Amino acid sequence: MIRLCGVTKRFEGATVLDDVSLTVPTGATLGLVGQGGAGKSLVLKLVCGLLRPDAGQVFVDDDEVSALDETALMPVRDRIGMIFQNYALFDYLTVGENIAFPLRQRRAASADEITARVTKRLAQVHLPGIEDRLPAELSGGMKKRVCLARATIHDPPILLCDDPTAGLDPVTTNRIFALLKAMQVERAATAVIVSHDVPSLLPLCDRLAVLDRGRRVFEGTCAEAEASADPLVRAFLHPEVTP
Amino acid sequence: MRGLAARLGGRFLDIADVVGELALFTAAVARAGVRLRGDGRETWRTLHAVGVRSLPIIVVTAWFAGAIAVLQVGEYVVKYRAYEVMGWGFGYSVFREVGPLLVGLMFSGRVGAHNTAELGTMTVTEQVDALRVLAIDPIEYLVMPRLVAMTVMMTLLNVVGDVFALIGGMVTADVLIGVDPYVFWNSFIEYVKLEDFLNGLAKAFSFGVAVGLVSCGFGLSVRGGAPGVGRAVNACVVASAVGIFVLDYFITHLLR
Repeated sequence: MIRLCGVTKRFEGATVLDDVSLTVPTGATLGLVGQGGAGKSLVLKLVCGLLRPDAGQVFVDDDEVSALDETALMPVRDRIGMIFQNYALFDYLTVGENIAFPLRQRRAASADEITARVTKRLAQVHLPGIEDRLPAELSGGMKKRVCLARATIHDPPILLCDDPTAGLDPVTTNRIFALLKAMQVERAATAVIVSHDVPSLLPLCDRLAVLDRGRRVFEGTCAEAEASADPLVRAFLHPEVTP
Repeated sequence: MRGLAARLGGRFLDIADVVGELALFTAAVARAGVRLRGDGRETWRTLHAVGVRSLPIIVVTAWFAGAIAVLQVGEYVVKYRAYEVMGWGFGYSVFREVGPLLVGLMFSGRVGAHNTAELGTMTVTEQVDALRVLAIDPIEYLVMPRLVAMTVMMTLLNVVGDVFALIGGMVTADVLIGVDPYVFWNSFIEYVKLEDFLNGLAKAFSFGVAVGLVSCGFGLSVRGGAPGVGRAVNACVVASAVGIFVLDYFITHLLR
């Protein structure tokens, strides 16, 4: 379970998150939407402890992430996989080495087993046989799928996706969401997915939260979101009818 | 007047901020060092990148440094016919001072700047954050291997530099000044002591630690995208050079 309780975060005097509370039950997927600068990516960074809130608490299962130091955060992060908005692939490592990285560092399996798992995971994300290529040789959509493979290779029970389809064409977007859906069905991880593409996001989510200028304006099930009268929620759910 | 005081005060606070950040970073690295944590694979990769690729530039620099040192003193050697002290004078100055200082400055310019740029780029492209999310300590995975590699290679490159400076000096003394290599070598062997060589080695070791800490510290604290990386590289080169001269002074003073 992931919980944010009254979280506030400021940067140089500007309040970027203002008293935000969110809950993602174990095994559920939360879609997090909002306009640019609403604080969505910040929520993910707070959950994995990359940043600390100025007020409030962040919990991952029973661990209060916001109160842990870097060393104490390691076991929590062991349970998290994250897809970064700007890929964050290690550009000096090949695709295969990138994906194998979490396993190698944890010494979680033998070299042969790691190779087999990398090959299998690359096939799952429809990128077979590109182990020896460097990230710089890949397109944006391919990089996102490699990110997905790296984030999930160690089967973390929590998955954080920061705009996994940003800047991608509709075909690749659909492919990425289909992959996420398939992985969620297979692994039943607790997930938070940030995206602007709400129509594509909804089929993946159990719950939806909408942020606006640092404040949470909606949190509930997808059905409750559909029934919401909030103009911003309606604008995200039905962009085609929004003036 | 108040404006000037405010500017000076602001500048002082900026410097204090950088020094404080570097001190905290050094403490974190020391903690990782005490725990003997580091990544072996990354250390080998960095040893190769730092050492082998720096070799040609160090060889060329050392050769010409040796040649220049001989040219500078050549006129007086001929004037006073002091051929038999040339090897000593040359070896003493190169081993103790010119060698480690020149290799250190070349090393900071090439390896230190490259290291800051690499870590800075990793920072602004969230690769360092990705490491942290994967439960990997960037100090153990990125900094320790680089620090070890830079310290080891700076020390070894100093030895290589000493050898090539010696050869460059001997050849130049023979060709341009007419000092027989046998006389040069005898003077060198006779008067240059092991402690002269070890003195330079101690300096090279400490320069390697300094360049490693400064370049990693500036690289991991980059803020502000590509311009921030540029500023960090610039700051690293300046801080490393200053650090090398300051360390040189204190080590010279201590090991007199």
